[in-house]
Amino acid sequence: MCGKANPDTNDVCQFCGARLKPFVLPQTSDLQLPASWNKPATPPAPIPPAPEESWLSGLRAESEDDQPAPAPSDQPPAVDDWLSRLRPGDSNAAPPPAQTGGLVIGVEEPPKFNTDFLKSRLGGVQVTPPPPTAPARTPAGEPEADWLKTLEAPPPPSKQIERPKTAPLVMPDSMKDEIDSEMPDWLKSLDITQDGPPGEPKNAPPLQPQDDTPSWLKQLESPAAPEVETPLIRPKTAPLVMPDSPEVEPSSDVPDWLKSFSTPGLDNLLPGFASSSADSIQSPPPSIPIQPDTPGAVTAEADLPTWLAAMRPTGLNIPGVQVDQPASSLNSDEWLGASTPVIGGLTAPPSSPPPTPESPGLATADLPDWLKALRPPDAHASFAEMEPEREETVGPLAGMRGTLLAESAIAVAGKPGASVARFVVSERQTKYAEILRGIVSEETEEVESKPRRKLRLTYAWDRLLIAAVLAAAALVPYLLPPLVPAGLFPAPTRLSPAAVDFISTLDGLPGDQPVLVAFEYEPASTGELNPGVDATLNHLLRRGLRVVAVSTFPTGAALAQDALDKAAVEANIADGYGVKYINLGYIPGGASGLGQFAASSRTTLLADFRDGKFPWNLDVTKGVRTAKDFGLVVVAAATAESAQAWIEQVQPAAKIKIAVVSSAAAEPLLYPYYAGGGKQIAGLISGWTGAAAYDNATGRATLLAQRDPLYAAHWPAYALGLAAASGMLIVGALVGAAGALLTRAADERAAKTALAAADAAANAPQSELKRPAPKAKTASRAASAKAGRRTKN
Amino acid sequence: MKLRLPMAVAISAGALTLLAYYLPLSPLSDMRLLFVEWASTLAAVALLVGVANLGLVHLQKISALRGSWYYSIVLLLALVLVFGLGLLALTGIAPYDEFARTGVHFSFVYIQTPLEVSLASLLVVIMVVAGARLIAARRNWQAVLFVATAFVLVLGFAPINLPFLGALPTLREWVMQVPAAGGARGILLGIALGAIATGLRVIVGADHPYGE
Repeated sequence: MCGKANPDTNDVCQFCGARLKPFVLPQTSDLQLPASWNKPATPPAPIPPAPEESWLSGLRAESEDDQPAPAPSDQPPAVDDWLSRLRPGDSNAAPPPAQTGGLVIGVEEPPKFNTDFLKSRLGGVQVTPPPPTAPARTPAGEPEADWLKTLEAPPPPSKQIERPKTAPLVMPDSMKDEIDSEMPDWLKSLDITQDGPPGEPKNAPPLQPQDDTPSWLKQLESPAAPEVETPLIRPKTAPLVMPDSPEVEPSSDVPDWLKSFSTPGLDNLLPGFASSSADSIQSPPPSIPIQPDTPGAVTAEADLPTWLAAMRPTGLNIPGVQVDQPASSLNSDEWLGASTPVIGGLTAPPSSPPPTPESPGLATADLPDWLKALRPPDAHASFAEMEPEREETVGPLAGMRGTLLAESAIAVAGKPGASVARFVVSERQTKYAEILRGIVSEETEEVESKPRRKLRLTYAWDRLLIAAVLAAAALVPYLLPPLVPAGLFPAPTRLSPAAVDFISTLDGLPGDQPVLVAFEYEPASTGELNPGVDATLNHLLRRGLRVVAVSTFPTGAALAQDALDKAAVEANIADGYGVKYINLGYIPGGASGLGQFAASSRTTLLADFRDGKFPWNLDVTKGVRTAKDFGLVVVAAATAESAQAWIEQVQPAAKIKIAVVSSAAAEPLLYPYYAGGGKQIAGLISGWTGAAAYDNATGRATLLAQRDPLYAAHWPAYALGLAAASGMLIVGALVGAAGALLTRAADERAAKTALAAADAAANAPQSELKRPAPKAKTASRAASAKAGRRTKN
Repeated sequence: MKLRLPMAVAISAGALTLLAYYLPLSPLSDMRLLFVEWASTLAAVALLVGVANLGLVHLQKISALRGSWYYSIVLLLALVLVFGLGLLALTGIAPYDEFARTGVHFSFVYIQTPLEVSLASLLVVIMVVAGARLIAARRNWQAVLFVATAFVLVLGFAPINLPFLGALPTLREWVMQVPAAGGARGILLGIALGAIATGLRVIVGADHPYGE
C-alpha cells in the first residue's frame, strides 16, 4: 500500500504492514486438522456490549486462530442467528469489486467475520469480499444446519430498482385496507415510518439483537442518526463523500484486523466510521439503503403478494435520482398513503425543492411590483405544469396523478398566453378613428344618382389636333406653294462619311462582276427606302453593272421587281431583264437560307421571280456560282436585324463587301458595323435625307426635278412635317408640365381643405362626429377623385 | 425515348454544323450544306403550312359565324384570288399568264403597298402624340431627356435653312454616332452573347425547343 519495495520473501510490507501475498486457503483435505475440528464448537460467549475493543479483539483472535484454513464446518455457527443470516450472499457469490461512486475498495485480506452489517452501514460502500475460495464441503452424513442451508442458498440477484420514467404510483385508499390485510407480518414489521427517515429500517430486530450489538454499532443507531435528513431518493452523483481528510484520525480503538483493510479510503473510513459513525460521513448514513442481498429484503421481495409485485414499478428512471432500495423494503404505509408524489413506491423528500441553477455570485434581483406586473405569464408552460395534480380518469392509469397527457398539450385548453398589451390611444386619435369610421360608413350609404348627360365626348382632342397639324404642315407646300418661302427648305446636300464611302464603293466596282441587291423590307417602308434604292439602282445601271435582286421577305421580291422595272426604265434598259438585271425572288429560311445562298447560290434559287425560268444560264448571272462571285452586295434594310443577317451569314462565307441602304431608325444600330475596324459595311445611306443627298451628289436630283414638277415640293413638305412634329413635342411637353403643376397645386389645395375639415371635425363635439360636416365630405370626395384621376393618368 | 431521339438529332446536327465552320473539310462542309438546305426547304414548307392554317382558321370562323366572320370572307377571297393568279401566272398559258401577272402586280402595288404605307404613316402621328403626352404622364428627368433628344433628332433631319438651326444637323450626327452608336454596340454585344449561349444550350441539350 505504501508502494515501497519489499523482499520477495516477505508476506507483509516491512514498512506499512500491508499484506503482500493474498491468502490462499488450502483444501480441507490438505489440512492437518485436529480430530475434533468438526465437532460442535462451544458457542461463543455473548459479546459484551462494551468495550468494542474486546469484542473486536475476540473476533480478531478467532480469525487468527482459524488461519490459515478456516473451513466452515457443519456445526452450528457460533454466531447469532441474525449474524448467520447476514452471511448468505458472501459465501458463494463472487461480487465484483466494490465501487462506491468511483471509489474502488479492494480488500486484500479477507476478514473472517461477516462484514455485511458493516456494508449496510457504509451506505453504498460495498465491501467486496475476496475472491471465493473453494467452497467448504459438508462432510457426508452430517446433517446440514439450517443456517448453513441458507448460506448455500443462491442469493437473490442483486437488483437495482428500475425507476419508471413516468407516473408515480398512487395507491387509492380503498386498496390500502386490502393491502394491509394481505400484507405479510414481516412486511408489516418493516414499518419504517414510525421513527426516523423513511429510508432507515427502524425495526429490524432480527438484524440487531439488543444484547449482541456492540456499543460502537449502537452508536450508529443513536438517536442522532435519524435526525439526519435522509432522502430516500439520493442524488445519483456522489452519494457518499469519503472522509479522506487528515483531520479524521485513526482511532486507537480499531482492532488490528480492521486495520488490515489497508485500502487508504477504507483505512480512513472505518476508523472514522467506527469512532464517529455518521458524523464523519457527509452522505447521510441513515439514508443508506438496505442492500438488496440482505436476507430480510430478500425474504420481503420473495414474499410479496402477486398483486403487490405487479404494482412494483420497474424502469423507474428519474434524472439525477438513484434509488438504491427495493420498494419492498420500505414501509408500505408510508408510500401507500403518501400525499406527495410517489415514484415507484419511493417517496420523495417532501422538503427538498429541486436545485435551481443559480450563479453563486449573483444575488436575486428584487423586482418592484410594477415591473413584476409587466412580466408576461408563462404562455409556454405545458399543461402538465399547469395541472400537476391532474388525475387520469380513463385507461390503465386511471386514478393516477401526474401522468403525461395522451393528447398534445396544444390540444388541451390551458392557461391563456400573454395578454395583449393595452393600446394607449389618445383622445385625438380616438376622434380620428371616429372620423374614419364615419367616412367608411358613408361609403355604404345610398346616394341618389344624378342624371348624367347622355352624350359625352370622350375623343382625345389632342390626338386629333396633332394629326391635323402634321397633315397641314405636310400638305401646305403642295396645296399652297406661295406660302412656302423660297430657299427656306432646300434639298439635303450634305453627305455623311458613310454615304461618301457608299458612293465611292459603287464607283469603284469592276464592270465584269454583277451586283447583288437585297430587298429586305416590307411595303410599309417603301416611302423611306425606295428613294435610296432607286438612287442606288440607277447608279448601278447607269454604270452598266449587272444587277441581281433577291429578298428574304415574301413581299420583298415584288418590291424588288417594281424597283428594278422603274430603274430600268430610268436607265433606258427596260428590255434588259435577264441581261442587265434579274429578280431571283424569295429566299426561304431566313438566316439559314442566306447561308445556303452564300455557299451555293445556284442550288438555292432555281427560278427567277418574274418568269419562273432557270436564272443561272442567263447573261446577267454569267460566272456566278456562289455569292463570292458578286462584286458587291447592297442590302436595303428597314431594320437592323435584316442587315445583320447578311453581315453574319453571307459576308464571312463569301468574303464580299456589303453596302447598306437603311432607314433612319436602323442607322444607329448599323453604324457600328461601318465604324468598326473590320469595315463590315463599306458604306451606308440612311433615310430619305441620305437618299436625297446621294441623288444630289450623283446628279440624279436634277433629272428628277425636271421630270417631276412636284419634286421641288417634297422637301418643304418633309421639312415642315418634321418641324411640326418637333413643335408638337415641345408644346406637348410644356402643356404637360403646366398641367402637372396645376394638378399638383389643386391637389395640395384639396388636401389642405380636407385636412382642415378633418381637424374641424376632430375638434367638434363628440355628438357631431357621426355626421361629418358637408365641407369635409366634399373635400374628402374631391381629394379622392383627384387621386383616382392621377392614378388613371 | 420521346425526348432523347430529338435531342440526339438536334445535338448532332448542331455540333456538326458548328464544327464545319471551324473545320472546312469536305465531309463536314457537305453535311453542313445539306442541313442548311433542309432547313430552307422546311422553312418554305412551313410558310405554305402557315397559309393553309390561316385559311382553315378563317373557314371555321365563317362556318361558325363567330365574331367578325365577314372579314374572314374577304380574307379568304383575297387569298384564293391572289394565290390562283399567281399559279396561273406560272403556268405560262398565254394570254392568261400575262393577265394573271398583271393582276398580282396590281394587287400588290395598289392595294397592299398603300395599305401598309398608310399604317406606317399613322405611326408618325401616334409617336408624336405619345411624345407630347410624355411629360404629363411621367414627370421625371428621363421623360425630359427623351423629349429633348427627340426634338434634336427630328428637327435635325429637317432641311431648314435657318441660322440658329445650323448646329442641329451636327448635333444630330453626334447623337447618332456617339451615344446612340455606343448604346447600339452594347445591345449588339448582348445579342451576340445571348445567341451564343442559346446555341450552346441547344447543342449541349440544356434547352430543347423541339420538345418538352
